[in-house]
Formats: sequence, structure tokens, C-alpha cells
Amino acid sequence: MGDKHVDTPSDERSLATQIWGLLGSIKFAVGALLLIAAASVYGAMTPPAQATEKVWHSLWYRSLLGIILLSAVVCTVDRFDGVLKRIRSPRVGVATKVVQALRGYKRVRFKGTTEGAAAALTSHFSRARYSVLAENSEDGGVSLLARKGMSKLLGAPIVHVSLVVIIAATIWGVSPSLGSYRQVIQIREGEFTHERHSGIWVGCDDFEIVYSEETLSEPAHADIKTYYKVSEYISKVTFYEEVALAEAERIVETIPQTEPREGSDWPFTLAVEAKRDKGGVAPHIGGSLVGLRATDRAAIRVNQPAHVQGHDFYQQSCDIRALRVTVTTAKGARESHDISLRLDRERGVSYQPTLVPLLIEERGTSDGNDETPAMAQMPGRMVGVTAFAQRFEKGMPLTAGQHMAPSPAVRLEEISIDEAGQVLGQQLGWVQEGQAMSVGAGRFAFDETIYDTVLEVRRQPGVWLLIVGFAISGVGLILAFWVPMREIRAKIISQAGEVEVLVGIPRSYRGDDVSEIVAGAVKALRGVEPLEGVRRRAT
Amino acid sequence: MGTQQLEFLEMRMYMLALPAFVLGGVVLLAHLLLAGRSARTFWVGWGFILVGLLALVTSLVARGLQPATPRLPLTTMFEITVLVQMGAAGTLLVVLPRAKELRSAGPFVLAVVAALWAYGYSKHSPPEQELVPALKSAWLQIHVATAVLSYGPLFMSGVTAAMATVMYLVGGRYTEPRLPAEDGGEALPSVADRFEEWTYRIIAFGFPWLTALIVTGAIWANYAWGRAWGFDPKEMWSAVTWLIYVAYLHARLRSGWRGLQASALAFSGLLAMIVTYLLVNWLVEVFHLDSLHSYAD
Repeated sequence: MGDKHVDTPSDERSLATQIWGLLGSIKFAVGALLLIAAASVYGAMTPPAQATEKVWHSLWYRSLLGIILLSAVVCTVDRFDGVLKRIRSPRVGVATKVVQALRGYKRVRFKGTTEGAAAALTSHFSRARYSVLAENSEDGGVSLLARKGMSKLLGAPIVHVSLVVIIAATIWGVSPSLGSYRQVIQIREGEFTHERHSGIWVGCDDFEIVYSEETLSEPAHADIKTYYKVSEYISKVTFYEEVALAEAERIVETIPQTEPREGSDWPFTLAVEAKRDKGGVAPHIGGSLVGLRATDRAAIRVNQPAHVQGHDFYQQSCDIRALRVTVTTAKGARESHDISLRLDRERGVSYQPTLVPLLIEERGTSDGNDETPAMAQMPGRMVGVTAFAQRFEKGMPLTAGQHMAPSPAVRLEEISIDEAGQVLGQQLGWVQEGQAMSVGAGRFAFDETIYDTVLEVRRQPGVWLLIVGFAISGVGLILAFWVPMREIRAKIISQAGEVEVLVGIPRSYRGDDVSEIVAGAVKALRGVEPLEGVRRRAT
Repeated sequence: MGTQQLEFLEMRMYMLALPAFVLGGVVLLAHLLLAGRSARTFWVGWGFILVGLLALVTSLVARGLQPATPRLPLTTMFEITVLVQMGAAGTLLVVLPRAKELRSAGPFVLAVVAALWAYGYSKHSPPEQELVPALKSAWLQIHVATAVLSYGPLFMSGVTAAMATVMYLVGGRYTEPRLPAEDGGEALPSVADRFEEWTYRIIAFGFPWLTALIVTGAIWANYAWGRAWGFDPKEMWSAVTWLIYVAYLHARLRSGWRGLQASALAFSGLLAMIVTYLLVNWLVEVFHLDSLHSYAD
């Protein structure tokens, strides 16, 4: 952001020129930068949901970003010509008094010719990898300009250009009209979803949380000597294309949805493996049948997205969504059920299972259950899952202890109905995952917890532009800050058979080695005895 | 070497670093206060800083060699803090011999390094045997390396900026040009000006690395989370730090800001950097914010 000043009196300037001048002003740029820094502090201290709405996506914040960008563009345009001119055709010939005002200015006189002095200095600077420009002055002297590292001047404009590229790439990245999109999909193990933008069907074959055990050298509690840490979240997925049912490897049935699943972008189509019966494949749950053929498989991890047909699938999060239980009735009938879990936000991260009455002992296989008229209407002895604990240790559920081994358990209750028709529960006990409990002549087993994996699907056609922007900014920053730039001016004047050489360095150079550079130039005129002492620089 | 010997070496070397830095600071202080300011005293102080730096390097190498750490030790807050101490001490070792005027900054920078040492000590934990999924990336090493190369010098620039700010406020001999030339030659800049000049030079070295730190973080976030920028508190504070340094560089290079204004702005960059580096996770807790970077504590 440059420091261009428009010299025209303000009252004569058009509004556009005034705005241009304002945007190109460095004071304006610094003010805008500090203002956006302050706004960002405010946003960073605001809870995320509010910050997104009130700050990051607000018109005023975006306007500030736009102004900064505009300022960068104006400054670059304003200054670029001057920079190019300074690099390509710098002013070589300068008046003597200009050289006298330079840093580290020195003057030497000796017998010789201007050509000889110019040749000696040119040779010296060329050896030191300077490019040397010479110009004859009207007064018969020669002006020399030795320079190196002039590419430094391009650094700031290049960084400004890179900002424009990065912001353009960002806008591309969030603009659906330009081919970018982002969607979050949520798939339960064993289910399928149709990602609508890509047209790809994704099936979650398995979702796994890998834990690593770490032994504590100084255990915080006598019972906790090992703690568990999530090592990986792995979604093993298969990508499918839709084909005719006759050509399908798998046939799925879409699930009619009535409400969105929590935490998902909506709508998207979910499906389960279609059931086959004697008559072949037919819809069982009111959905429609879709034929699928696998095209790719991937194990998606955090930091290891899957790239499929120009789309990226990222592991975003996961959640426990259901409990798979099996009930074996007294008569030996065995049925598997998935009991849905709902996240109870009022009680923190706590899951509440849906109460599903499960018949475990048919009427007539046991006595003493038909105590009320209401219960007499029931088909037999019923049980239900009334609580779920992610960690269950030593006979009790734990509310904390995220560093402990994951050991889910469910609380089983026998469901009865009192005379008033009220549903009552009587606790039977906790059943851990993989274990079973006998209830009368029946049996209840908690088979497994069923996870939903949450994947983020993105199409980012502009990501290459973002990387290009980053690379350009790297080049610009290296040029601007790390490339050393040197400029030395010399004026050689012939005076009555003697030659006077004046050497100095522009004041824009802030290095500490000014005296060394100038001394080196003077030394290049060795073999010539100076006629007058060199003007001493205070050190 | 067995695990126990490596653990012993790691802690012993870490413990050695503190007295080395303290002694370095004391000797540098003595060098400044004693008449004559002998070069030998300076180099003794410099040597102590070098010993402290080597002790930290050895400590980190010993930690990295422990069988429980099957990776480079660049993950935990302790490890990062050791690296930042190394960055700040390393910058001091490079700058002090080149800038005599800046030697009075040595004890102050070492005081900051000692404070970082104490913070690191409070955060010391056994090496992480297993990284959280988000950290399992080759970008981790690149990101942390850029953090050290930026934070180390910027910590030092913050101290010199603070000292320059105080000097400008105090005025007097600190702001008067030194040794005016008898024959009208160029006078040397004041002590405060030299501090301000060196502050700029150190920032000019550290700023590109700070940019690289944000850029590598963005590329990594795109791999890990599917977005380069998520307005996470840590990300936003790093952006605030960057914006302050951008404003500083523009003001100084293009608007001719020098002296008190420039020094104060450079110092505010240090404050923002401290928030980004050390206080964000605490702020997240206090203000009930969410952060994907909470593992970084």
C-alpha cells in the first residue's frame, strides 16, 4: 500500500480522484489495517455462533476486508510504474550537490583522467556484482550509478498482487456459482447416502475409532494407570455410481425421511441395503430402489481425505447414533433392534435412548405379569433401554473420564403399566457392550454401538489458485525483506588536470556498512595519491 | 542410551539452560555497568547464552530420542516453548555481536527467555506417545519450524521495541544524537533510534516467517479439516498479530513512522503474539469459545 500523493488541489479534484487518492494513501491503509485487527479481536472474543453472524459474515466486516483489498490494488497500480521506472531507467546523472548530501559521502582528488577513474570504479563494482550505469554530464564529468538487488523493489507490489490472488481464490472457493461447494453428510455404518452435488453414492462400510493406550508414569489416581487417547477416526467407505437394477452390485432402498438428522446439511438421501425375499427385491420401508455399482473405496482419516472424481471427502466428526440390541424371547424367537440415541444438550454431552418396548417373554410363558388390566393388553413381558453410558466401570456409569477405556453400557428396565395406565420402569441392571442379561426365560444382549460418520464433501476448483497466491506472496516477501539492495552514486569531475571523485550512498539505505562500501569504492582508485584528505565521518 | 538415561539427560539439560541464561544476563549487565565495557566480559556473557542454547538443543534431542517419542519433538506446549526459547536465544546470539548498542537489551531478552523457560517447565509432560489425529501430518514439522523462526526473533524485537518505547518516553540522552561530528559530518543516531532501527530489522526477518506460519497452517487446515480458514480463535489471533505487523511495516517503510509511534506499534505486535501463542486457550475457556486448536495446550 503506497504513499502516492496527488498534488492537485483538493477542491479541483473529482470525487473519483479523491477516493483513489484516499485508497492509495498509506495513512488510510494503516488505519484500515488496525481497524480490521481490532474488529478481529472483537470477533475472536465472541462465541463462535454469534461471531459468525455478527462479525465474520457481516456486511461491515466484509466491507472492511474489501476496502483493504481495494487499497492494496490502488497502491500497487499507483506505485508499480514508479518501481519499474526506477529499475529499468533510473536517473544516473545528478548534480554534485546531490552526491554531497548522500550517506557516507567521501571525496578524493588525484591526477588522472575521468575515463580512468570511471573504469576503475566500474571494474570494482562489477567485481562486487553491481550493475553499473554511467552517464556523461554536461559539465564534462561522469556520473556513475552502481546497483544490485534492485528486484527488492518488486517485493511489495508482488505481495500486494498475491493478496489479490489469494482473496480471488477465496471468493472462488466459497462461490457455488463458480463451481465450489461444501456439504456435510452423515452416514450410519451400513447405510448409504447420495451426495447430491457430485451425484456420488457413498456407503459407510465401517467406522472405527482407534484408541491408543498410554501408561502414566505418575498416575493421577490409583485405579487409572493407563489412559486412552483417540489415535484415529477411520471411515471405511465405498463410492458407488447409480446403475440400472439389473446391472447393480448392490440394491438399496431409500429411507423416507421426515426430519433432518442432527448436525447435517439437509436434504440428502439416505438408503439402506434393500431386503430380499422370495419374490426378489422389493421396497420394504416405503422408499424406492436404487441400483449401485462400486467405483472406489477409501479409508478416510483426519489429514487423509479421499479424492474422488474431483471431490474431496474429509473426516469431520462422528457421533454415536444407535445401539444394536438383540432380544431372544422365551420361545426362542430372536430379533435384532437398533435403538436410536438423541443427544441431550441440556445435560451436556449425554445421550438419551429412545424407549422402545421389547417383548422378551411372551404371554403365557411366565406368571405374575398380568397384574393390571392395562398390562393384560400387553403381548407379554416387556423390557426397554432407558439409559446409555459411554463409559461404565466397576458396576457404575461414569459421567467424566474421557481418558478411560471406552466401555459403553445400557441400563435395562422392565416396563410395566399401572392401573392408571402409566408406564413404569423397574431397573434390571446395566448391560455392557458385547454382554447379555437373562430376563425371566428370555435374554437381552447389547451387541454394539452404531456410529454415524460425518464427512465434509468439498469441491474446490480454486484451491490451485490459492496455492499460487501463497507461492507469489512467498516470492514477494523474500524479495521485499531478505534481498539486500545496494545503490552507490559516484560523480567524477575533471578539474585542471586533476580528477575529483565524489562517492555516496542514497539515504534510503539504512544498513550499517555504508562506510565499508564507500571505503571499498575509494580503495578501487588505488595507486592514486589523494590530493586532499577524505572528509571524516564521525563514528 | 536407555529411556531413563535419555529422560535424565532431557531434564538435566533443561535445568542447566536456566542458570546459563541467568548468568549470561548477569554478565552482560556487568559488562554494561562496569567501566571500560571490555570485549572479554561481553564474550563471556555471550558464551553463557550459547551454553544455554546448546543445553536446550541437547534436551530436545534427548527427548526426541526417547523410544516413546517416535517422531520429532515438535508437538506439546513444552516442546514448542523450548523451541521458541531457542529461537529467541539464537536471535540474541546473532544480533548482539553485530549491534553494540543493543547489548543492553540482552539481559531483558534473557529475562523473557527465562520466563518462557519457567512456563515450559510448568508445562513439562512426558513425550506424547500418540498424537491426536489432527496432528498426524507432515505439515506439523513445517508449521512448527516456521513458528520458531518467526516467534523467536519477534520475541526479541518486542523487547527491543518495548525498550525503545520507554527510551522515547524518557527522552534525554536516550534520544539525543550521539557524537556530533566535529567537522559537520554525519552524527550517529540516538540510542533509542538504534533500538528502533534494530527492532525493524529483526521484524523484517521474522515477518516473512510469520506469514509462512499462517500460510502453512492454512494449507494444513485444508488437508485436515477441509477448509483453509475457519475463523477459529487461534487463527484469528494469529491474523491479528500479522495485521499489526503489516500495519507497522507499512507505517515505517512508507509513511515514515519512526520513534515512539513505530516502537509502540511493534510492541503491540508482541502483545498480540503472546495472546496467540500462550493465552488463546485460556481465553477460549474463560469466554466459552470453541477452538479446534485446544489440543495445543
